[in-house]
Amino acid sequence: MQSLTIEAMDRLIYLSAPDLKCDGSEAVYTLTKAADGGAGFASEVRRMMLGEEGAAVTQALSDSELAKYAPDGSQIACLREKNGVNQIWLWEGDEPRQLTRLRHGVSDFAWLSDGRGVIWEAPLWPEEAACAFEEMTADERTAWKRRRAQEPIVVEELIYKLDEVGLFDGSVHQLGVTWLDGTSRLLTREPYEHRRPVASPDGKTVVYYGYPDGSVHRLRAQIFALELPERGEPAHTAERRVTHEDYLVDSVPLLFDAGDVALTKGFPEGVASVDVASVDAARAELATPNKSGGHVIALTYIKKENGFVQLPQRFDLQTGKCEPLFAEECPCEEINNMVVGRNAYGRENAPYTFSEDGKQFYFTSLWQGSQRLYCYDRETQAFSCLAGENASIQAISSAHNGRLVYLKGTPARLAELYAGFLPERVRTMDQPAEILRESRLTDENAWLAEYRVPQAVPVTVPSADGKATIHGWYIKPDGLQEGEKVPAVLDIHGGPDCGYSSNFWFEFAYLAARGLAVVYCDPRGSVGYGSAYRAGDCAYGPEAQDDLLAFLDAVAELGFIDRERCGVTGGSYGGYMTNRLISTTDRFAAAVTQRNLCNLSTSYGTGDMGFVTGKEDFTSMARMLKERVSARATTLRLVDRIRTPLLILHGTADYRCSFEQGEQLFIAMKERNPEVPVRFVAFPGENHGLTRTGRPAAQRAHLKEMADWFAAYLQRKKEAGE
Amino acid sequence: MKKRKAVLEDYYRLRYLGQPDYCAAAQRLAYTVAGADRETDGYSSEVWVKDLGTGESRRVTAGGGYESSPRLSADGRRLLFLSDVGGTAQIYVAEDKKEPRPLTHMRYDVHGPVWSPDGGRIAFLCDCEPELSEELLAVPQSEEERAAEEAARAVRPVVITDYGFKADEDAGFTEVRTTHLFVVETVTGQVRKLSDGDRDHVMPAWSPDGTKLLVTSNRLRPREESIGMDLFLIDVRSGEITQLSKENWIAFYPASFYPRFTPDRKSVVFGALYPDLSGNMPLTRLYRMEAVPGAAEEGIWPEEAPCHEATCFLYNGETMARGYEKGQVSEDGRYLYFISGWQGEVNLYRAAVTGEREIVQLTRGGHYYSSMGEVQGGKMALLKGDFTHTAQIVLYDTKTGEETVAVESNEWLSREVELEEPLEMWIDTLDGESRVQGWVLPPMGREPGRKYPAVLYIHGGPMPFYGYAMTYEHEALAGAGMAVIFCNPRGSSGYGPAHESNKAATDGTAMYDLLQFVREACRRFDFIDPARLGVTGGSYGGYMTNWIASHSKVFKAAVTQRSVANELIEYASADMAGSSAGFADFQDFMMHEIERSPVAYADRIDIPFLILHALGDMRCPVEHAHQLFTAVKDTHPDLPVRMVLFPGGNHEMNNHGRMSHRIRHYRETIDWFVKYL
Repeated sequence: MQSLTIEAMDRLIYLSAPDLKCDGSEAVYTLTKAADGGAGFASEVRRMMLGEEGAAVTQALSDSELAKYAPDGSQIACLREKNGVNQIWLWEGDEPRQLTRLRHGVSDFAWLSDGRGVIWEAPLWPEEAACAFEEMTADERTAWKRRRAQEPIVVEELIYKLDEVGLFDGSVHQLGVTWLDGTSRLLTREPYEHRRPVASPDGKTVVYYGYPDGSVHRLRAQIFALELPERGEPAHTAERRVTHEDYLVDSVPLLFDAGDVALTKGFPEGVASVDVASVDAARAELATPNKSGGHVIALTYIKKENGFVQLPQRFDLQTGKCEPLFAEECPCEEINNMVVGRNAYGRENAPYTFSEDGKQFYFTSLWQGSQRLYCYDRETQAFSCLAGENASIQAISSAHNGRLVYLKGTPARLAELYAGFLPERVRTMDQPAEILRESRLTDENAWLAEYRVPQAVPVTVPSADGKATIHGWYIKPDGLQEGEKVPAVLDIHGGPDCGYSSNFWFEFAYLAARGLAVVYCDPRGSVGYGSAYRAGDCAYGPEAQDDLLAFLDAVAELGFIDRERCGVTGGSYGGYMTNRLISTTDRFAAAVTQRNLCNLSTSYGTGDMGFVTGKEDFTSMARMLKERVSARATTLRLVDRIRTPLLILHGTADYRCSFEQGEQLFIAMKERNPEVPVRFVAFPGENHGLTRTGRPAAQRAHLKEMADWFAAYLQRKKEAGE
Repeated sequence: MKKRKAVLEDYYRLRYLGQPDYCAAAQRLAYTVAGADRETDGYSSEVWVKDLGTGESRRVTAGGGYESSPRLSADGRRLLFLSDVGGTAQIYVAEDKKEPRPLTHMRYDVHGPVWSPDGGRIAFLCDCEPELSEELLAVPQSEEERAAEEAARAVRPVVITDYGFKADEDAGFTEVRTTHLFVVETVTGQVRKLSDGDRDHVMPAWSPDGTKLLVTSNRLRPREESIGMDLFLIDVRSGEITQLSKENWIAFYPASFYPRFTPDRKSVVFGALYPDLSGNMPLTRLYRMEAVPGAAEEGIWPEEAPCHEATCFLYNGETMARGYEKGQVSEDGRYLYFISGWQGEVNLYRAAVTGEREIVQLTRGGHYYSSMGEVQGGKMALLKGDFTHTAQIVLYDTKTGEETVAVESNEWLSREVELEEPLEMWIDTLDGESRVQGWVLPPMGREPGRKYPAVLYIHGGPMPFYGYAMTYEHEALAGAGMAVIFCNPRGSSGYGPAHESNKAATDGTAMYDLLQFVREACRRFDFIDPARLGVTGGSYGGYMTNWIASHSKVFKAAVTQRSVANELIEYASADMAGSSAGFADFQDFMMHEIERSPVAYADRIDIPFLILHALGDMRCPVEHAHQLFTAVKDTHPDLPVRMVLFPGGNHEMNNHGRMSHRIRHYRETIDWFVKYL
């Protein structure tokens, strides 16, 4: 086994979007890896037979992602790239065939419940309405892109850019349907966004997120429904707005309440068990349309005493009224999957699904440093934790025939695909956590075994003020000798309302390979420890900073860390905290601030968040900007204090914490602290997601800069003769 | 034929004369004719030679789309010029009427070529990476190589360890290339690189005996002194580089003054930045020194002078080719001719090189001169234009003061378009300390007794001044039925040091001047409707627009162009480093900057507001526009607020960028005022 190299980063294999066939005999998933020497990624879809002997990949489809089985399992639909955009392809037997021909491709889709076709979401330009279904050739697209790249961009809306997409380009996502014979039609035409369509079990309704409001509410989703027309019907169906004032977590798709169909239809006995023989009967039952499935589940922000939590609400599609899905308080308090510090790439599945009879609700959520799989039994109203202790259940498929497939990662290993058999009935949380009988199906990252990947050791530390318990980990570096003291890096996660999730993160493994101990934790403000743990503004108050230092000190007590040679790093909020630590203490001998925020008075309007419309305490812009200068998050005002050698890393296309934040910190350091080493590395074209979804070459360069900086300032170079 | 109004489409027809080069021996005049190219959305440029005896003009071309920098050899028989026919700008030489043949085949564009006195060599400049070998530099790149290099550069991480990491000329991160001096033998084509290091070397001038090159460089200056430069002498044969001047900052930015040898080759005359005690931008004054390292650098600027400095920051004027000669020495070595601006006029002056200091004004009138060529036989070729004429080439006789027009331009304009002549106006400022000169361009085809909207157009800088030069955008506004009010408030040059005060440009004084001028214009010109006034400007003019829109109720609509909104953004993200000197605590500096930032008052803007900005603007970065738009729209959800962002352009976009974008930029402004006034 060798020490991990930076080049090894390009060998990472990312799995995503697992799906399970309705009879449980097959699964599909997307596999992504670095391509073109690190200039980008390439994805393929893999199809895997699940037998008694084990799992075997039987087919792969290149340039593809997001494969989904038809409800009857007879074929697979997926997105496949052609001429620079994704179209929906059908995969039945050996030959895949192109189904849609949208001018600008398809961005998401779902099967109709009877499998007659697919509903999709596609970006369209209003001025191209007449040719929405005319594909472009590769040359046409190149010319089109070149023309558009030179077009001046007109902005008249308050919200006109978003880090994930850049400046809004004038396209609007519309919904449509394509039947298996290829005939297509648009279903929507209103001039606002329509995202994440889902078809009802009875085949009559499509629900989706619409964004009908402008100004500061332009990104606020509401639930919409439309009636799916019959093939021959010419008229457009009206888009019906179901909700009005709710705050929905639209990063997660809507889910029809499977209990509706089951409850009204009298679901046959025995289907929820692993008895494969009754699957045909159940399949037939499901395929028969019933009266309209009237409820959807949506994850919603609910205000609680300590702030907002994300909980599933059950919405009545007719009235728009909702009620909580959970009758009791959930053991992890909410469904929150804001995980960080892990390598992942690709589409995210819905974090929840129902059992086929609608009686159980399975969901993943971050809790105390692991991303766990839970089950909520609607009849007993009991919760149980099925899997995920010291691990991360990254994605789950829907449940079929008593099983589901899911992606699970651990600190030692990136996510692989697993199959789990679901328990028949779940009683209470007293039952042991790992009651999911699981088997690993893939071994895509077996190559990691060629390298030494040190272990992450979990630790809990009491906070200095005694009011909290801080969870975290440490990693001893490669080749640590008995009694040796090594430099350490405190790695602070972003958010602040995110949390580490017991998953593999190349950055930690590489820093350890370079001989650095890595120390990381979830200070107050982090997600996964209850809303009280992140109440108020503890993330910006003394609590978070004190927790981080307390944790580092506690780990240093274990004896292998050289207190004089500690470095600190973090991205976004973690960058802010890095700035804060080095401008209020001299604790660290080196710092790397990534995509940082340091000046709220210039991030207003240059970043994509933080508007004042509707804020009652707004009096004047001058006052607001000056308050932002003296705000706690504006660490730039303390720049004179910085003595720690500082590396600044930032993507030029970052619209979350705009690039000018990095520039200001650099210029201020150069001017005010000319004797303190400072270096600024800009990554052209990279946005706020650089370290997760950036080009592999940029990710490598970013990590190498970080490690080299720590090497230079924490690890003394060996002089000749030493 | 009835004349029509000025329209933006006319920009495609405008042709700009430039770079005149007069050869007395052969009675020839070489020059360029440039203009927008609709096909490429760029610009094309042609080299022409006129026989002043016969009056016949012919184009000299190597087949390229952009050909420029024509220089006639001393005997006039050979012409060198730059042509891009091979993909990059390279030197071509045409002898008599023969086909031009290529002389250089460098890897990158070359520029600034100058004949040696005997015509045996040509000195030129090339921007290149300092570490590239001469072998690699002397060979052209293939298309594929160039495309691959560009693609790699677009994604390569940029390591920044020092100031100066952004440059507006590069519309982004500073190219790692610096400007270097080369010399090519005209017979053999052998090329030698004469400068080294990783700094810039510009404005090469041959000694009269051809043995030395005088060059200006920042090679010994720290990078924070972004405009500090010294004179160096390079021995052409041995390549030895010796520092010549060290006391002064040689004028290269913001306005270059080309240093020269005197004809007796004993001395060098140059322009240098003269420190201004009131903290303004430094002036350019004139100096002479013996061409011996360590010699005294003597100022030749007298106490009393009819002009203020040896350069001129004329803000307006439809022109393209920037003249690279700013001063010429008379053949007897007695005088240094230069151009300077005063009270809107731009005229020729001459300074005594030796003996008693004296500056004499040679020309007068409502016009401007630029692009002075070498004095030969007592004559020099120059560009000359005025309010209603684009620059023509004139020959000025230094002995008699007579001028003859050698080449005319855009005659179709006078024939077809009803160009309005601006009406001049002066006011005494309210504080009694100065006078403001300005003009009102009436709307085209106005009817008597009728009132029209008017637009206050504020120039950038603040140091430049509006002069007697054509501004076609103004004419297009007039053509759309609006008057244009433009003036030179405090901060503008051309009225003496007190008026040019940078402090007055930003402490509110300039704003008073502008508002007072507008009020007075409404009073004096009854065709202006004071209830329908708009305000616009670019850069500093945009900054003032932001300030005025948030601090006065005089205007009903505003268009802010490439403006400054937040001084903290300007401090760090612009390509000219800011400074927090004078503040012991950085937070105090930040508060101070916010207080004097127009965006801090954006919530008071309640008039239709249009923001125009180029994405690649490195002088006033686009972040200003993002924050300003958000601030106005966020606090006034129902106000018409619009922002148009131009990809690929830099701070000079609306004068030198893609013509389609320029026209769109002007159109947005005109349409906004038509709609809201």
